Amino acid sequence: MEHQVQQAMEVITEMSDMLNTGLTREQLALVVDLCEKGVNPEALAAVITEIRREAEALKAEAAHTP
Amino acid sequence: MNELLEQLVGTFVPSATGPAGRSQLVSLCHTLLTSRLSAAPIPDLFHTSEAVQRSLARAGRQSHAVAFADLVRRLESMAVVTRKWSVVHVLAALAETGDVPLPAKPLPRLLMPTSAGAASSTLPSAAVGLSAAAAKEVEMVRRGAGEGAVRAGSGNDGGVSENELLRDVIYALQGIDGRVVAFDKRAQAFAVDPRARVKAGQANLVRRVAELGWLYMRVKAFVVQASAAPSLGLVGQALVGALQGELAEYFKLLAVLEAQVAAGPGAHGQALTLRRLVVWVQDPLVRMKAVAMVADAARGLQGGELVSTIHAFAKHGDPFVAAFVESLLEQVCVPFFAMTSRWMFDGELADPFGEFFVVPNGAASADEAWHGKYELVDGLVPSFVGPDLASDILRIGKSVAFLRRACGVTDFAFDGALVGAWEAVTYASASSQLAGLVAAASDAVNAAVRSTLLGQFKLMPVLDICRRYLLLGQGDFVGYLMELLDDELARPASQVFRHNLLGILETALKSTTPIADAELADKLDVMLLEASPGDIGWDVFSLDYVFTGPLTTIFTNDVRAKYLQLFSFLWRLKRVERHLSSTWQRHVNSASALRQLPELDLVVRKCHILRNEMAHFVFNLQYYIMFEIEGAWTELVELLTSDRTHLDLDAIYGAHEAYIDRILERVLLDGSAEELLSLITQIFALISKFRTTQDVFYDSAMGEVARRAAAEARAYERVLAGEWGTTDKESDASASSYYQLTPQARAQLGAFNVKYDELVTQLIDMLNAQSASALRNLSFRIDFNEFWKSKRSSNP
Repeated sequence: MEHQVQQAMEVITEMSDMLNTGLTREQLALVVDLCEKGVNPEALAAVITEIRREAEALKAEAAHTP
Repeated sequence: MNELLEQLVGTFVPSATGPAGRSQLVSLCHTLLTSRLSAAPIPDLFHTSEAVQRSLARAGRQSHAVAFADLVRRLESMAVVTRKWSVVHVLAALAETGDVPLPAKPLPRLLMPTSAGAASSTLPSAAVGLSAAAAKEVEMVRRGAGEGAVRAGSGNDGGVSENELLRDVIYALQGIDGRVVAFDKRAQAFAVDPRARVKAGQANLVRRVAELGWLYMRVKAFVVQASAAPSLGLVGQALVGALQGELAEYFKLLAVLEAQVAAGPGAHGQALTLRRLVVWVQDPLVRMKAVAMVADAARGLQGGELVSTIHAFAKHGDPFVAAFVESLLEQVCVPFFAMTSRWMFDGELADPFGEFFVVPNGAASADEAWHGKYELVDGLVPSFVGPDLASDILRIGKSVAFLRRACGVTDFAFDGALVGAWEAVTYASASSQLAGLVAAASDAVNAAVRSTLLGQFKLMPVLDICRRYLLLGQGDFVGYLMELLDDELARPASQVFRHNLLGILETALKSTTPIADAELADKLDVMLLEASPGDIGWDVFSLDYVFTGPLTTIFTNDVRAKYLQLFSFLWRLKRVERHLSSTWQRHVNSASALRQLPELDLVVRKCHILRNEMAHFVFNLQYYIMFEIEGAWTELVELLTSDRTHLDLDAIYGAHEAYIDRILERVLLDGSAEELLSLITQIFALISKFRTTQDVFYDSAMGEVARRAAAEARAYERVLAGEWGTTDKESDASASSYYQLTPQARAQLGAFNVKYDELVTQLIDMLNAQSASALRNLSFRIDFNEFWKSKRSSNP
């Protein structure tokens, strides 16, 4: 079981790299988990973009207010 | 799920940031996930991977594309991941975002509520790889999230939103498959995809609206198919044009509906809903139903048939449909009326596709310009025209063509007002005006045809010549001609030559009552019938008339054959009459001489009586025939010269034909009274035989008279010479043949008498049995004093 999960994650990571999504392995695992929960993939993609954007914004904020 | 989200946020956002911001972000993400984002295009792994491969290939990374396909295959074989498509889809959606620095724009409402809506709308959706619709949804949710209110599309979690259904329905109305609503070829209807989660009620509404789309597809298919057909024809083109106009109207409606859908729900208070749409499309639906009905019925039809078919729908009970069909007919009938007016006013067929109900008959020769050249095709007569009007229209066009081509009348034209009124005729006014206009045109052209025939082409004088010469009405001419022809026609038929006869005819014409119009007299001609062996000149001689120009339309070959038939009968009758008069001449000339032979008195008297009986019969037959001809002639003249304008060329021809037929019937030549005719022929033959017998008898009687005179002279001479005046030898030798003759002649005459009596009695009996009063009249003429009747009763 563990081995299979490992294999699957490898395949998915490879895909992710090939498509240059910029997601880390940890993040990919979370995405797969969310998908397994039945989340709408379109929405999930939107969520990820949003989070990224917010993260950038927060980073920028943090940089401005040291 | 929240935990997973928190973790996810945690991987992106450095933990240094405040927990407040993080939790806010998590809740936003949650809202986004639970909200009804546009449904995924097609939850199909293969489809998505194909799309990815395509985009990789486009970017020039063929090897990656192949590798990706391989990876997908591997993933497919793994049981751990159940929602493989979702994973791949997320990856595909996030493709090429890894190293693109996103614009670091904070959510204005979320994190900086003070600067609300500043520049929130510019989201580079294309770069993100999200569909535009999804981006819009995100925008919406973001706005809604700022106010803390979650807007759910239809409240139907995971189902299809009403707006989306609306969009699909609008597609369906254009005959295009949408995401959820697609055309089911098997059921021949638009149906909601059973996999999509659509409420039954909504699906029902969709079906009701989508019927319009189905109707549209039918009409569209007809229009496409019909315009591609090479034999479409002008009426068909008009119909296609009209239908295209209908479709254009329909597209206008669709544009309005589409704009409403695009404005989206909530834009106004009056948002478009499925239910509202159902109501809105009711009228267009009825109209499109009518259009499709017409299109279905019109398939493969042409011209008049097409007009009739559409016209049948004008009686539709629904006034809405009836009005629509009438407006359609208005347009469809335009080429039809144009063709009709061209035909009626110019006598020309402008019908490249064979749609008009008048068709030319290619097989007809030039002589049949009137009778056979144009025909009516019943199936192509539009039902609102009807067979009577159609035949009137046919005749008007034929008359115009006749005037222009056969008669060479170039200046004939219809009254301008009439033409103008006709040009203005449309389908709507046709029912009230058509009959009147056709009648007016008919009157005008008939009057022109009649006056041309009677004036320029001298129909009446020609008819008169036919009666007087071909039907032997001109007594002095006929008598004289017979006298002149006597020698010529006594020869065998093979030795009779037309040119000799023509000379004689000319002489006869010159020395009798002249024909007023010399030009017409020149056309009298001699015709020799085909001779059978044993015929003499009398049997083949016939007078003829050379008909030219438009007169051949009235004097067709049929009619001329009838004239010939009549002539030959009347000619024979005249000849028999002539035989009788020659025997009478003989009788008168030799009467005083025969008084010297008192023993012949009885025979001569018998001859005389029989001849008188025969003469009585022949004269009465002749009177009867002349009376019938004159009667028919008077009627014909009255009909043709009266001022009745409805007399068209057909009627003129018909009147003349009826005149000839009536004479033929009365003269027993129409084939209905073969027996009567054969009796009469037998009587004629008997009369001829009687004449020859009498001639022989008179010859020998006159010979006897001469012999006696000579014998007497010789006796006188001998007496003068002092001898006996008479010798027995002499008288016996020559008298023996004479004395044999008397009983022979008597017996022959007796036989003639019996035969003649028999024939005439039979004839009278037969005439009395006829239903026609004219024939009974003939029997009365022949047996006016009941002589034959008494004879028959005394000698049964």
